[in-house]
Amino acid sequence: MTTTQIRKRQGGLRGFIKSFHFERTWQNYLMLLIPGIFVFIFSYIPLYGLIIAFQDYNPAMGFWGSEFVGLKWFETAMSLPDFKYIVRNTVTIALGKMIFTQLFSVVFALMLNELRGQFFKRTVQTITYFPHFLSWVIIGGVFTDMLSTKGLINQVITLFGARPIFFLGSNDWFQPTMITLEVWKEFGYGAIIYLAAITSINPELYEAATIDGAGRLRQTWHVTLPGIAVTIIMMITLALGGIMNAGFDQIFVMYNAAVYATGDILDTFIYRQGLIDAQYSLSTAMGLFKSLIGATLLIITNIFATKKFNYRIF
Amino acid sequence: MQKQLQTRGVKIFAVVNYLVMTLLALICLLPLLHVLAVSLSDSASASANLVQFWPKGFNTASYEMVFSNQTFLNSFVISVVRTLLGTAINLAMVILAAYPLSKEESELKGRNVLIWFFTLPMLISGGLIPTFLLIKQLNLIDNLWALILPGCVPTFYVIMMMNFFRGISKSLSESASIDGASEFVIMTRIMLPLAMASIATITLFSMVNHWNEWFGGMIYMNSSEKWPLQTLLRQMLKSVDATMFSSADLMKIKQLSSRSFQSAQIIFATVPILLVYPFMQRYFISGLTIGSVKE
Repeated sequence: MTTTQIRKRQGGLRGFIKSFHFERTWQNYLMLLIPGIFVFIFSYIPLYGLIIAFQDYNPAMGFWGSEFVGLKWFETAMSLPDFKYIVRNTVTIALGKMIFTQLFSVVFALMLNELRGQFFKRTVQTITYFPHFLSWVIIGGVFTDMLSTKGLINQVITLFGARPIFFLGSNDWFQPTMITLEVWKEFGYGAIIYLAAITSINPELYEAATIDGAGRLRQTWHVTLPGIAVTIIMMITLALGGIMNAGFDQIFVMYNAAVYATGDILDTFIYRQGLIDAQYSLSTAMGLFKSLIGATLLIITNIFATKKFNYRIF
Repeated sequence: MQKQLQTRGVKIFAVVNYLVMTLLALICLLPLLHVLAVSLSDSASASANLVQFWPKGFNTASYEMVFSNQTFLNSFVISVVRTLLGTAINLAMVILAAYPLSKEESELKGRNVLIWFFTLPMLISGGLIPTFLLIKQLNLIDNLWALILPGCVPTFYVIMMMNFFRGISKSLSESASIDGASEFVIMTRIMLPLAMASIATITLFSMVNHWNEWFGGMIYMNSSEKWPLQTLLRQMLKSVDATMFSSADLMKIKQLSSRSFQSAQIIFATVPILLVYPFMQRYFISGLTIGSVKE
């Protein structure tokens, strides 16, 4: 009885192995092995390292020796007086960036679409897409200079008799400035997807609208805009998945202690807690908190996008 | 009458539209022109904020300073090496992962599990500290590989490449398979030549990403001789902003002499992007519509 069972299991295992058709497919698995190892090391081991969010992590003891403390660090994080502000700043900046970038991209795409001169159109595109490819270090360098009290922008402001503005040093101005700079960097590039959507609108619709006596403005309103509405909603839906990402690079390059009240976001706080103050466990707990909310939102928005717009990543 | 009014409206709109578009292009261009102008001005004019969009006291002293600055050149070399090596490895990893994953579950058993293995890290990651501790434990601190290996399998591009492979007709690889070609031969001889456009896209985007990345350099490289250019720039520029909010004149004086120098460095770090930019323009759409609506 037992021997037949064993034989059966062996046969089952052998059958299972056989079902992989290794004689044909082994090279495929070999190919996957190489990137697979790197993904395992650099993505899955840190995932395991999240365990320190539940420990009193002691570098001398490592992941295995440190004491387990449950949700202590999550409670600590929530009870931090700054926590509320940081979450609020994160969501405000992220939402502001998303709304205004999408808005400007759509309007820009619509206006660009109305341009008739091909050379002019291409020149405008070339120039406006470019900032997307620059790092925030570069852009930060360009604008910290321009936004300083004696910088170019304040020179213009004082020219009109107004008082210079502390764009990067005042809590009233920091968030709008960050959002504006994000729009400056991304509106052109963000328009590409809408331009692509516009070109796929059936030209017969415009002809029909012309026959009905619709001018250019009405055509835009009644044909172009509905034609790209699905793309707009889809882009917003997907962007909502990133609501916890206010853009570490930008904030980190441009903020300073004077504007922590409005400028400090989860990512910058996590960075300072972790790598400046060496509060490894607290920092990791906050990172996990952010990551979990982000992942949940991402799943929800992606399911929504899949159901409503036939969106598929793979 | 009606028609005349409409054409006039159209004309007015066209003029306004051209003006607005010109303005937007200028808004994107002028900040960079300003930096360029400052970099080419003498340091007295630059530090007195006298330069707008045209150099005052034109000279190339700050560029000479950049080219003779050992720290800067050193970082430049690190950035170049890192960009070339990192891009090559990214590309190899993307192809190696994307080709097998482009197969159906019926052709490659376990494919549906494996694709989750590769894409799950996109959804949730260990985050800053666990990754940092891992790099530390692997003894990669102050090692160039710390800037290349952690992100060496870019999931986004794997998915993009995979979708491209899936779009190639199955009959091609099937007939090659019947002729006795191995999977490796099919990938290198049949699929890759067809995927050159996607490969070009990934190469260019990967190059820009590596060139622009600065955070890894900041946290993994303790010694400043190991910093890539963008990290060096960020550390230099960061030390400036203190002067803008405090009235510490001492710091200001220090800054005065270096404004045109800093501008020259910003321009210098931008030039490589400018050089690949014309090539990238052809691939914007494919780079952007990764995972968008499919028919």
